[in-house]
Amino acid sequence: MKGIVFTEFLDLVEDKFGIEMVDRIIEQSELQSGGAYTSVGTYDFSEMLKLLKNLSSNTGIAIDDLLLVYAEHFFSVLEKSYPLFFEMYSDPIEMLASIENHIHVEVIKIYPDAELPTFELVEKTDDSLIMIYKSSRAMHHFGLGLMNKTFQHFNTTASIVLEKIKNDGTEVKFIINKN
Amino acid sequence: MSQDRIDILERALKREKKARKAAEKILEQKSTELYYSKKKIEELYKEVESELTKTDSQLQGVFENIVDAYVIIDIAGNILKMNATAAHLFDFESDKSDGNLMNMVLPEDIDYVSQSFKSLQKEGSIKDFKINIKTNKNDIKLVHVNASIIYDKGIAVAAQGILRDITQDNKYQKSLEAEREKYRAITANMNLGLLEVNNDDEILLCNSSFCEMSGYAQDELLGKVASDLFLDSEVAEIIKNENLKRQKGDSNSYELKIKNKLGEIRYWLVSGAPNYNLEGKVIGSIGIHLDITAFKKLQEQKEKLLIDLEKSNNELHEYAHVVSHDLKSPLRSINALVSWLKEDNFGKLDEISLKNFGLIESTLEKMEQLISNILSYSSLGEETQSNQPVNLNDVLLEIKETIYLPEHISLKANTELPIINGDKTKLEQLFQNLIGNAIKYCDKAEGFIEVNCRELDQHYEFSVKDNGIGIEEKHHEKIFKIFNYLNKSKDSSGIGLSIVKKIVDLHEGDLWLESSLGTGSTFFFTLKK
Repeated sequence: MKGIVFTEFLDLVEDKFGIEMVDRIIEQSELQSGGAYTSVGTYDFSEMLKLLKNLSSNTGIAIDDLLLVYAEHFFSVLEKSYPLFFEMYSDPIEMLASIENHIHVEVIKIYPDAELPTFELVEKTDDSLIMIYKSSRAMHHFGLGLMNKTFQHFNTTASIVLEKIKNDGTEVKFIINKN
Repeated sequence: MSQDRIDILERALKREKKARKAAEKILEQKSTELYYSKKKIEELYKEVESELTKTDSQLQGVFENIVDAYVIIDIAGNILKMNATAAHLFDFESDKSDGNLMNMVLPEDIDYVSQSFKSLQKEGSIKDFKINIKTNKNDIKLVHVNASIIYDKGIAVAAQGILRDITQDNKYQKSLEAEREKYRAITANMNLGLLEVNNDDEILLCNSSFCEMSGYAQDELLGKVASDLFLDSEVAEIIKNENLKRQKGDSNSYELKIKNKLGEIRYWLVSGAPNYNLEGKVIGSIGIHLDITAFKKLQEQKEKLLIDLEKSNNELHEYAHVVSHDLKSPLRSINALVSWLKEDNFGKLDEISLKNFGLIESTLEKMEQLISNILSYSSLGEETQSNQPVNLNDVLLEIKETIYLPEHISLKANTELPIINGDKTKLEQLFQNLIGNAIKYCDKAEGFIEVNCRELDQHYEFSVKDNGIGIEEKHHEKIFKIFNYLNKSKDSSGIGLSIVKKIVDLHEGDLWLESSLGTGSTFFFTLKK
């Protein structure tokens, strides 16, 4: 998993809960990297799971909710770092529909060792989208947070319903309806 | 600050340091990778660049060296680039001159050209387009064009074309067609039968004269094997050999006995020549046929006539021998009997009887001479010792020695006489007869006989001139005919000049005379060298 996901996550934890919380979850997680992350490095995803788990147990907030918040924070990082992607689209539905065929293709060009989820397009109209998320990471709420922010970016909102196809959350149907 | 917080900050600092170092390492690695990538790209670029230069110079070479005119025009027809050949074709000063191809189109061709240009734009290329153009110097040239569109990002921006001046080709083609037409008209209308066959003797072409000669219609002939149609198997063998000769490249002429459609035997004279294809290989032969059946029949008749003539000549010759021999012996008997009669009645006969006996004797003598001359005339046709070089000076000398020449007559040759090929005896007879006649018919107190000779192209011309009694012009024709003599004299048999005529004929010469009564005669004759 790209280092930026870790660094931004820890920055967010520090921002919301203080440097002590950052220290605590790193200490509790007994990470292979020792928690020394750089945005240009690549780290094992299990470290993120451990960090999330410990943050959840320390704060009493559900992991999915933590991912949601984190995604909303991460979106602003993307906005700052890759404004080009956003300029290419004028509609959130169009942008989301092209995650698989355009955005992820470009991501792989920049980060050849990135491990990306797949978003299979099931149905698309002008105002709606049904996609199936597949990833062993089960970070569907991270996706949800990014999607919410995408609509916000284009000054609109949407109701997004998640239906788990697999209970462990590795396969989830996203039903998106623009408001 | 509490110890806890210090510890937390220290750990955080440691992590930051570690993360920074990791980041630096990654960055260094990436920059090394980048450096090598850049180098590789530079190499690739150089390679591409040199490849490009190479291709470019190759293209430039093609552009300059191409034999045909090459021109690039924009969509409006303006010349963007052309090679020297193109400049020459369009009569421009140089390949840098400005021009517009559309201005060279003749008014009557504008529709045709704009249509073709549209199809060029639509299809992307055009081939074998032929058009008359008016060059910069107002010459009309016929050009052949292959052209294609040049695209820039899918948009047609220009057209390139290769042009060839085919004005001469076209003229040549036309004159070739005219020649062909002429040739066709000749073969169709000529009176000789024309036949073209391939190497298997199959008929490829025949003209109407051939059809007429053979009795077949054209479609009955084409594709058939000529020898099967016209020839017996043995004659076919001959023609097969002749065809083989022709395939080796020999021309030849020969006679053929053929059967026409009606089954009639005809004789054809055939002149054949091998027919070559463009690679110089023999692909058959062309024969010219002339029907010589009528001629052939005449020849056969002539041959038969000759044989008959020879036979009757021989018979006549034999007859003359027999007759002269048989006639001579009763003459000798009569002569003997007359002399016995004279002896037995010696002194008893009166003057008139004796004179009559004398007349009988001289007539018998004349008869004897006549018969001898007939014998010699009839044996003239025999080929004896012909065609030996004969020195005519010697011949004249011998005659002088043997002939009786009265004192008052002179005989001389004014010129040196040549040596000619002939029969010595006959040539002696020839001169002897003419000189003898001159002596015989001399009526002057001072007679002369002159022999002259001058050289002509193929012949020698001789003349024997005298100042004797001369011959009236009305008799000039008949004196050369046998048994014609103008003066009855005891030694004139009327055969002498006939013998002369015959000998001159045998030597492929002519005989004639100039003469007037009272002043003398000149006999001319020619003998072949």
